[in-house]
Amino acid sequence: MTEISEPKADPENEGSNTSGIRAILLVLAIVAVVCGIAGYAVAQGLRAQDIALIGFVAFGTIIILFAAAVLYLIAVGNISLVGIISEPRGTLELEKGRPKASLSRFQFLIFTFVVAGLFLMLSIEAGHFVEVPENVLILIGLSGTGYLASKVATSSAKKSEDEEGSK
Amino acid sequence: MTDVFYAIVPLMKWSLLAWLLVLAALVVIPCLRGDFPGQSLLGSGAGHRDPERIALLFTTIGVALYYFITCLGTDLADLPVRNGVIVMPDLPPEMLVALFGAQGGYLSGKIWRIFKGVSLP
Repeated sequence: MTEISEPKADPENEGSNTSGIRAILLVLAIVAVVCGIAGYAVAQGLRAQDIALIGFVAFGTIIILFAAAVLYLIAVGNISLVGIISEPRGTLELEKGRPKASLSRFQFLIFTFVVAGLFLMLSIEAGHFVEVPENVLILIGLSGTGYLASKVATSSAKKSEDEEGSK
Repeated sequence: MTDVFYAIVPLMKWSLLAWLLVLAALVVIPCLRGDFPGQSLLGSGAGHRDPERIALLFTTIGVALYYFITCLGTDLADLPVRNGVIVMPDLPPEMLVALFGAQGGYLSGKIWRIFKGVSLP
C-alpha cells in the first residue's frame, strides 16, 4: 500500500507570488493616491497649469532623489567606476593583465558630461529645450569617432597578439 | 503658482550643477589617489610619456573647461535666439581645429606604436 504524501511546499514560488501581490498592491496604492490628488485639485478648482506644475515638482523630486541615490551608491562603492576610463586589459607586453587607462574614453566621458549637463541646465533655466550649436555637435561626433577608432585599433592589435601567441 | 515655478527652476539648476560637481569629484579623487589606472593616460607603458597623449589630454581639458566656464558665465538673455529657440553658446572653430589636430596625432601615434610593435624596457 503506497503512502500518499502531501506535496511539499515550494518556498521559492510562494516568495515570488507574495512579492508579485505586493507589487500589484503598491501600484494600485500609487494610482489611488494620484487619482485622489487629481480629484482634490479638480474639486478645488485648480487650473490645468497648476496641475502641470504639481506634476513637474513631483517628477523633478523623483529625478533628484534618484540622482542622489546614484551618487550615494557610487560613493559607498556599490556602483564601481573602476572601468570607466580603462580598457579591459593591457595590450602591450608590459601591461598584460592590468587594466589600462583609455584617453579616448576619458575624453568621451568629459565631453558627454559637460555638454549634456550644460544642455539640461540651460533647458531648465529657459523653460524649454535649447538648441545645440553645430560646432558642439561636431565636437561630440569627433570625440565619439576618436573613441571608436581607438577601440578598433586596440582590438586589431589584441587579435594579432592572440594569433601570434597561439602559433 | 507662477512664483513657485520661478522659485523652483533656479533650485533645480543649482541642484544639477551640484550633482555634476559631486560626480566629477567622485571620478577625479580616485584618479588622484591611484585607484584608477590613470598612469597610462599619458603614456603607453611604464615610465613612458607619449607627446601626442599629453597634447590630447591637455587640449581636451582646456576645451571642456573653456566651454563650461563660457556657458556658466553667459546670461540667458545674452544667448542667441534662432527661430524663437535659445541656442547654447558656440565653440570657436579654432578650438575644433586644435582638438581635431590633437585627436589625429593621438590616433596616428597609437596606431604607429601598436603596429610597429614598440618594445618597452
